[in-house]
Parts: sequence; C-alpha cells; structure tokens
Amino acid sequence: MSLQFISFVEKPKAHKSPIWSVRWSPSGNVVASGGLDNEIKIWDAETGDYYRTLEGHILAVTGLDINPTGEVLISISFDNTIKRWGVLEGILINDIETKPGEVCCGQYSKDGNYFATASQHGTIDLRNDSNLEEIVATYTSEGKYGLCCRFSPDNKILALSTDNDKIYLFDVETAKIVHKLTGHSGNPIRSLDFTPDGKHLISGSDDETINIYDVKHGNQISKCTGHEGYVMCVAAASDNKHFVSGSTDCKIKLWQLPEKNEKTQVVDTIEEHKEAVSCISWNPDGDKFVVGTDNLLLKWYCVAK
Amino acid sequence: MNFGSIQKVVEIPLPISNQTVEIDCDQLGTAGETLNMFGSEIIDMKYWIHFALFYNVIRESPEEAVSILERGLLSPGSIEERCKCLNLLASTYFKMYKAPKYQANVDQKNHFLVQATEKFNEASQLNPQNLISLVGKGLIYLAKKDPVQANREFSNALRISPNFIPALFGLARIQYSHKSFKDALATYQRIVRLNPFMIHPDPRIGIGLCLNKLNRFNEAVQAFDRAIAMNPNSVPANILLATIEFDIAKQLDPYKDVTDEERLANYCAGMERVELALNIDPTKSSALILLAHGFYLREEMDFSLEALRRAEKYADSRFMQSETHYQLARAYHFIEEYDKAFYHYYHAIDINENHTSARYGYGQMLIRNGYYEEARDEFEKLWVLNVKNLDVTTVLCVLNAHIGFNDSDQSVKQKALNDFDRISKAFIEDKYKNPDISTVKAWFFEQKKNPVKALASLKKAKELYERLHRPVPFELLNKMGNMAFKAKFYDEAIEHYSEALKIIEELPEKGGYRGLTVCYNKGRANEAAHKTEQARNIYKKIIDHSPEFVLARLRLAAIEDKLKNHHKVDEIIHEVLDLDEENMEVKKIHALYQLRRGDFQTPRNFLHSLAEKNDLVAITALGSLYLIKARLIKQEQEKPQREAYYKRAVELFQRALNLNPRNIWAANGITVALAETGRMQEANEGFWKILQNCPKPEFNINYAHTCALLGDYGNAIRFYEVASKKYQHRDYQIMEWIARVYYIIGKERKNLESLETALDWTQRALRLKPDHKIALHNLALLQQTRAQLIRDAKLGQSKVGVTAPITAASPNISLSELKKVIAWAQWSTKTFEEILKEEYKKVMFDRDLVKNRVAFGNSMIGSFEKKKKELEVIEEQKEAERTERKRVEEENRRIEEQRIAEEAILEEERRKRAAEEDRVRNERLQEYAAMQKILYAREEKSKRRRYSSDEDDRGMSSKKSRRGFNL
Repeated sequence: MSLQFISFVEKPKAHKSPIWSVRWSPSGNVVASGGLDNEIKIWDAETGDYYRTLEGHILAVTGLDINPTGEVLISISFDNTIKRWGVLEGILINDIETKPGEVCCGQYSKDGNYFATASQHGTIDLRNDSNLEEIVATYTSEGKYGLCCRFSPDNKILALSTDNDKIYLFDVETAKIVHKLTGHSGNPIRSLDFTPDGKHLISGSDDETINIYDVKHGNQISKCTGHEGYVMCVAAASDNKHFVSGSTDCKIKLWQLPEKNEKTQVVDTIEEHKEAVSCISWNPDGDKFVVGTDNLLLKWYCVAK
Repeated sequence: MNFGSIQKVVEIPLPISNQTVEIDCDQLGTAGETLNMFGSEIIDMKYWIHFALFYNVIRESPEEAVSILERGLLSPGSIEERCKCLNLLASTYFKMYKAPKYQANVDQKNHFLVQATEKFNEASQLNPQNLISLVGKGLIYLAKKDPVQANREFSNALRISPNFIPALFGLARIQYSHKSFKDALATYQRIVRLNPFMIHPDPRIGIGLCLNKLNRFNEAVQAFDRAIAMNPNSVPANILLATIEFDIAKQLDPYKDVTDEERLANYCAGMERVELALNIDPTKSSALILLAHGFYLREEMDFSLEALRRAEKYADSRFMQSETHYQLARAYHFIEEYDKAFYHYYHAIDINENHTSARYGYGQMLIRNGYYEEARDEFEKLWVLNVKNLDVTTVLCVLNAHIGFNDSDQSVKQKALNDFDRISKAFIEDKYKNPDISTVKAWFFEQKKNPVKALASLKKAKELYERLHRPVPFELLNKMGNMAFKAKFYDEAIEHYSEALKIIEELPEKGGYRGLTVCYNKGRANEAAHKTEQARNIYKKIIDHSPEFVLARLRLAAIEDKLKNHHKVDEIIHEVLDLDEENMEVKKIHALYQLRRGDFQTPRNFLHSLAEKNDLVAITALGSLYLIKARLIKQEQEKPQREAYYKRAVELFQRALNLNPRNIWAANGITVALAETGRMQEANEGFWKILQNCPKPEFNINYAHTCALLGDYGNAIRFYEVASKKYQHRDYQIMEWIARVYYIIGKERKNLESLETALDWTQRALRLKPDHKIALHNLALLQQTRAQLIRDAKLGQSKVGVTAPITAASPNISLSELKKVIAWAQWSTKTFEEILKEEYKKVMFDRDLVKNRVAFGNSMIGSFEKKKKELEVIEEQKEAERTERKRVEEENRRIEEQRIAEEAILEEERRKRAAEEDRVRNERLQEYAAMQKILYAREEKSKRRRYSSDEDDRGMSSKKSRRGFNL
C-alpha cells in the first residue's frame, strides 16, 4: 500500500505572522488556526473559506483546542490568558488569567469535560471546562518545563513532555506516574500524540527524531530519523497505522507505524514548504489534514492511495 | 594434389640436339643450375612443371619452383599445360605470400599476391572453365578479405562442377566466417560424403569446428575423434581436441558443472593430445602455444614460457606470432614480471591489432605504469572493436572517472566525465548481470558528491549479487552504509552496517581491522541518528575487543562531552593516554574539551607547548582563551590587564594567520578583539572580509553585531536574519539580537511597527525556549515601550510629565485602542512584578531597573485609566446622545407606527363601512330585485290567468289584438 499526499486547499497569508497552532474540530465542521499575530481564525473545514477572527489576545497564540461538539474553543497565549470562545458565534465566553510564562499548551479531554494545560513547572493542571479557573487536579512530574500534554483516547492517561528529554505518563485517576519515558538524548520534546487505539505514543523532539512508545509497557519501540530539523509537530491518523510530522526543516513526512519487528517507514515526504511546518491536525475521519507553517500558509492535504 | 608420388626419374626429349636425357630429380642442383643445364634447349613445358613440383614439394623451395615455372612459361605446351603451369605458378606465389619468412616484408608479400592474382587471371583467360584458377582466385579474395568476390569464384567453380571439393572447402570457409555454421556444417558433411577418405585437409575438422560453434560439443568431440581415427597424425585434430579438453578443465561457459576430478581428467587428456600433436610435428606453433596454455592453466609458468619460446621460433603466421606474444605476456604478467609482460602485450597487438585479449593486457600494463589516458585510449579501442564486455566497460568507466576527477586540464576532465556518462549509459547492466559496473558507477557518483545516486548504484550491485546467488561482500554493504550516512539516511546506514557485520561474523578473525571499522561506522551512524545509548554500547564493545582502537574511545568521550559528563570525558581520555601517552592529538582534543567547558587553567600549559611547535589549532585555541580572559575582566581599574589579554590574543591569532593566511578562525579572533576594544569600524570591515571568504552563520552574526553597534541597523538585521535562516530559525539568541535591533530602531525613531517586529522575534525566541526569563522580560519591556510610545504620541504626554489637557473635542485615540494599550501596560507591569519575585532571583536582572519599570508602568496605567475615564465620559455622553437619539427616533417611530396603525384602523373602519354600505346596497338591490321578481311574477300570473280565460277562443286572437288596439 503506497500512500501519498495530495493538496486540495491552500490559504496563503492565512495569518499575518507565522502560524503556530491549528486544529480541525473533532466534529469536523471547522478548522481553527492561531499564531504569532495574536489572532485565531476560523475556516470552513472542507473548502477553507474564511469565517471569522477571534480577537482578544494581545500576544501570540501558542496553543488551541476545540471541544468534541465543535462549539467551544480554548486558546492559550503568551499574554498569560486562557480564553474560552464560542466557535459558532465568535464570542469570548471566559477569560482566565495565569502567571506570566505559565502555560503554552493544552488539550481537551476526549469527553470535553476537562481541559489540561502543561505548565512551566513540569506539571499538568486539569481544569474544569465549565469553570476554567478551577484546577481539579495537578499532575506533578520531576521534569522541567512542560511543553506538551495529551490525553489518551480513553481519558485514562495524561502524557506530558518536557524540555529535557522526559515524557511522563500519569494515571488520570490517581495522578501517579505510570511510566517515565526517555530517548531523545537530552533534547526538548515539543509534540506528543496518542494513536486513536491508545496503544502507541508518538513524540517529536529537537533531536530531529520521532520516538514511538508502547503505552502499556512504557518502552520505546521505534526511533524515526529523517527530519533534519526540530520536529515541531506529530499527529496520528485515525487508522492507527499512520502519522504525520512537521519540522523546522520545512518538510512534512507521512510515516507508517511499525507492525511486529518492522521499522517505522517514511511513506511520503512533502518538500514544497519554504519555512518551518509548526502544526498539523487530522480531520475526524483521518483522511485529510491541515498544516500551518511559519510562511503564513495554511494548507489542506488528503491522503490518497 | 598429392605430391608424394612425383616421379623421380624422367626422360626428356631435347628437340634441338635431337637427343633424350634421363634426369634423376634427386641429382638436380639448384634451380639456377638446372636452368643452366638446359641452356637454350627447348624442352616441353610439362617437364618444367615436373621440376617445379619437385623443387616446391620435395625441396620445399617455392622460390626455386617459381624460377623454374617462369622459364616453363616460355616453353611450348598445350593450352591445358599452359593453364596448369600458370596455376602452379600462382599457387606457389600465393604460398610464398603466406609463408612466415616473408611476413615482415610487406612489399615483397604484396608483390607475391599481385603475381599470384595475375597468373590465375591469365590461366582463367586461357580457359575460363579451369576450376583450379577459379578456386585459386577465390582463395586470393579470401586472403584479401573479400568474401563476396571469393564466394563468386567458388560458386562459378561449383556451377561448372558441383562436386569440386576445393571449391566446396572455400565455400565452407566463407559460410563459417559468416557464422552460418549450419550451412558450413552441411558443406563439410557433403565433402565427407563425396570423399570419405579425404584427410588432407580433413573435412571432419571443419565439421568438428562447426559443431563446436553450434554448441553440439559431444558431436564435435566425436568428429575430432573420427579425424584422429582416420589420421592419427592429424595435428589440427589433436590440437582442437586438446583445446576442448582445456576448456572443460577451465570450467568455461558450457562446462560449469564439471567436478574437480573430471576437470583433472580433461586437463590430462588435453595435455596428452597436445603432446601427441607435438610428437607428430614438434614445430607446430599452435600446438606449442596450446601446450603453454596447458601449463599456464596449471600455473606452471616455467614450462609455459619454455613452450612459448619454442612457439616463438616456429610461429608461421602473424596470427600465431601475435598469439605467442600474448601468451608470453600473460605468463610474465602472472609471475609479475611486468616489464616483460608490457613488451609482449605490445608486440602481440602490434602484429595483430585485433587481438583483444592482448590489448586488454596492454591496457592493464598502461594503468600499472600510470599512463591513464593512454590506457583509456586502449580500452576505448576495445570498446570500438565491440568488446563491450563487463571488464572493458568497467575499466573504461574507472579510467574516465579517474581522469575526470584528477586531470588538471579542464577540457580533458570534462571529456572524460562525458565519456563516463556515455559509456555507463550505453551499458545495459542487466545484460551483464555483474555487480562491478554498478560499483564503479557508485564510485563515480561518490566522486561527484551525490551519495543518494551512489547508494542507488550500490543497491543495484547488491541486487545483482543476490540474483547471481553470489555472496554479497561485506565491503559493499559497508560502502552502502557510508553512502547512506553521507545522504543522512542514518537508519538505513545502520541497517547496511548491521548486515555487513553479520557477514563479518562468519569470517575468520571476524574481518580483523576492517571488521572493527564497520562496527565503528555503525556506532557513528547510531550517534548521528541520536541513538546515543546504542552508539555508546557499540563503542564499548569495540574497546572491549580491541582496546587500542582509539577512535572508538574518542567518540565515547565526545558523547560524554555532549551530555556534559565531564569527569567521564576525562576518564576516557586518561585511558587513551595510558595506552599511548605520547598521543598529542588526543591530548589536544582533551585540551579543547577543557577549554570549551570553561576550564582555562588546566590545558593552558599544554596548549602553550603545542603552540611552540606551531600547532595551528593550539595557537588559535590559546588566542580564544585570552579573548575570554579579557572579556571576564569587568572592573574598570583592571583595564590594563584586560588590554594586555586582548593584545596577547591578537598576537596569537596573528601568529596563526602567519602560519596559514586562510585560518579564518584566527582572522575572526583578531576582529573580535578589535570589536571588543572599541575599534568598531575596523572590526566591521574585518568581519566583512571574513564573511566574503567564508559565509558561515557565525561570521554573519559577528558582522551583524558590528553593524548594529555602528548604527547600520538595516545590514545588522539583514545579516542576523541570514544566520537565523541558516540555522532554520532554531537559535533563540539570534532572534533576540534581531529583536534588540528592532527595539533600538523603534525607540530611536518612535516607530511602533519596529517595536511590533521586535515583539514578534522575541516571542519566536520565547517559543523556542519557553523558560527563557530574559525573553519574558524583554516582552514586557517591549509592551511597555509600545504603550509608552502611544501614550507620548496620542495622549500628548510630554517628557516633563505634564499631562496636556485632553479636550473632549479631540480624542485621537479610540477607546478600544486605548483598552488594548492598557492591556499591554498592565501585562508588562504584571510581568515585571512577577520577575521581581523570588523564583526569578537566579536570573541576572537589574532589579532596581525592573522596580522602576513597575512604577513607570503603574503611573502609565494611571494616566491611561484617566484618559480612559475621560474617553468613557465622552463615550457615555455619546452613548447618552445615542440613546436619546435612539429614544427620540424610537418615539417618532412609535408615533408614526401609531399613526399608521390608527390610519389602518380608520381605513379598516372605512373599508368596513363601505363594505357595509355595499352590503346594504346590495341587499337592497337584491331585495328590490326580489321584489321586482315577485311583482313581475304576480303580474305574469294575473296575465296568465287572463289569457287562460281566452284559451277556448283562439280564433279570437285577432280580435284580442284588435281589441287590444282598442285599449
């Protein structure tokens, strides 16, 4: 089976500055993007038509996520606020202040009831979606700055990557560390993603590699080399077999996850971008994804056999 | 043509003296004496012919036979005899033409051929049907390499006499040379049927050769066997049989599956045959060559050379001479007497330029002696001769590639590279199924610095090995690993090395040093793929196996250095130095490690000792060391010391530059010293020069630094950005420098856009390093500065701090904008406050300054809030006005609506009234109509009643009318 990327929508100058985060709504209706220009923009998920801009952050938007119904968007910014927006109406619902430099990444739980944020102390704060200010649980690692956090698909595990090579897997219920994963030779790990079946965790690092871990046993099963820059984003496809990665080397790679004793293989590489590829998000069906680049470009791809 | 039965004693009538003489041929003297003996006597032509045959065959002296025959031609004889004489003369000339002793003399040879042609033609003119002349002409054409003409002559002869055997032989030769082996076989078989006992020449040999060419080897051997059975003394049959035996012994193409025992048997049989042939004819050069070949196969070179020296003496044709030289060359080549081999190869192709094997050997010798271009020409000739086999193509490719990469002459280089492309493209790899050419192509691509293509070629080579079921050499796999490594396919490289190591495991002594190298390479690939743990294990394994493998230890040290395990680095280095305490390179590496981690004291003495030996690296490193020392001195009172350090650094760098003017790091060091001692313009120019020589990002940065300090912000930004881009925007420090320049521009020129750009770059830096407190501080500073700029510009805030009266009439800032600015100010102040907290203590901030910023921020927020309030009042007024306007409008609208509603009601009423009126009218009308109907009906009824009373009297109607008129 040979897969290939085909681009079908392209939005040059989607933002005024580099795009740092993009999210294809889990309900499939819209795509949201945010970045250095402080703005969040909402696009039609299929046609890329522009819908509206969510204005309010006074510094760069570093992370965003949309709840499972596709109605609520939470954004995180260098301006030390977490903002909660109505996607459809384009209104700001809540505005929570954090400490300067406290958070830069967050994710909704799969049921949409909670929002987890990775903090500068190497912790994850679990917040109630209906009341973001309320921290319902804190997961403490021994690591330094938390760069990325992800819920496992069954909501039972929270993964946290740090800027010094460590990934911590927490039991959501007990807040205990289940596994501590290493393997990026002391480098920051900027992106994480679970495969939808929850079996594997994919990590992208500044060491230019991507590691694949067995979530259950907590061991590394593969190391993918090929990028020649920081791996800024990894995103698992819904088929549990593929994932994509983007890097400062301006390349996007489609990988096939290893089956028994195989190695992870690159299926396709896109080399058309001129600047770093910072963020990637799949559609819920797992046959399309959208990428955001430092070149102010949003681009939609489908994966064709 | 059997001359064995020449009558020895002849009686010759002498017409002039009218006598008869009896001549015993054995008693004859030289041809001259014989000619003199007859003086002017006219004897019949047939006697001359007889004598000529005698001289030719018995005395083996064609020259004498020729002189006799020339005289004979002047004698009387029948046409038939004349023909015979001419044919014999032509044949003899032809024989002389082919004789070895005349081979060297080309003019003489050609003369013989011309004579032979003339005489055969004369004979043909006398009798066009003469078969011998026809065949003779055919043979001459063959000698002239004109098979078409030759074929015509043989065909003519066969038309006259279809079974004329010499013509059939000629025909068979032509068919054979045209590779029509089946036709040739049929012709030879026809000859056998026509004359089953013919052995001079033996058509069976022709049959055998044809069968051999048709790959019917067993039948070929049978044919040669029959030839020997017919004539045990047949030298060619023995030789040919021996050739086949040797071919089997050599396991040539069709005999691949022959066992060793069989080979030996075949070899012995071959030698036997050769010896038999030599017993019959000890001077037969082809047999001698074959004997030599036999010895060569057994690698008994002394015997081989002995046989060849004899063959050299007896070689009776150019072909044989050439072959002898070739065999000699080959034997000398084998025993590594290259000069002699060179000589004989040269003579082999000098005599027979089509001897491809000899040319190949000659080419090899040229390569040995470094005459690459000449060698290339030789192999090119082979290629032109259509010997496009693997070896030739491979060597040609290598030579072209070699010349292409190494020759100083650009045109020669280019031509060679083009030729390489042409040849390797023309070469169909699949056809030859040999991996070597792919290996050569890989090497070519490697030289062209294209590891991806090189790797592809190597993969092809590996594939061919596998398809041929030949073991893949581990060197190939190692090479594949190297190419994959160069192409940065590190995982793939690891795989190739692992595969190579698997093969090495099976080798005796596990491949020795080369095996270790592959292992080391695998370690390097793991390291490059960031698989540090694996790499470390591999190096440790190598060291366990061979402790003297220093490279592996140094890599281990490098890994530990990267992980900042400094004591481990020292440990490893000491282990290496324990093995080899004089290893200066290792000591130097260690010194550099120490320097890099900030330990300037330990390595200083060592570096000095190296520097005394003019070690460039040491001198440059020492220069840098003094630069750093100078930089560390901050106190003003220690200024002289600082100056001294800078001076020392510059001296060292200058010395390094004197040793190597291209030492860019030394040049850079000097320029850094210039910059740091305030000689900025000079430094700027220096860095520019360095950058022109070496556009490394480091130098871009240095140049940009000086530009920034000299106020050339445009160039500063440009060169910083180039450097940042080169590092894929992964260096947060460069981003901060860029931001800094934009900040300066923004402040100096009160330019908000520049501040915004500075903000962008700072945020990019912060994103790369989110725990970078300085970036956070700078963000706050930028936001505060932006707010300040807007305050100064739009709130009319003067520098003395007097707030200009803000009139409601001229608010040049909108409330929403102001709110945004307040947010900036608040955010920055809050961030400054945060920075003042305990946890930021370890970051080197000027806390008083930050405190001032907090205060300044708060005061600014105050004035903003004030302005905000004013704006809000205005906004409220506006809002009130808006509300009032809205209220009035609303009221008006309401009134209007009411009016419309009332009107609507009135209208409705009117409409209702009208409708009622209509209804009433209608009703009345209807009533009226109904009334009328009733009235009418009533009238009608009464009328009808009246008429019905008149009904009886119809005839009275006129009366009625009349009566009517009366009314």
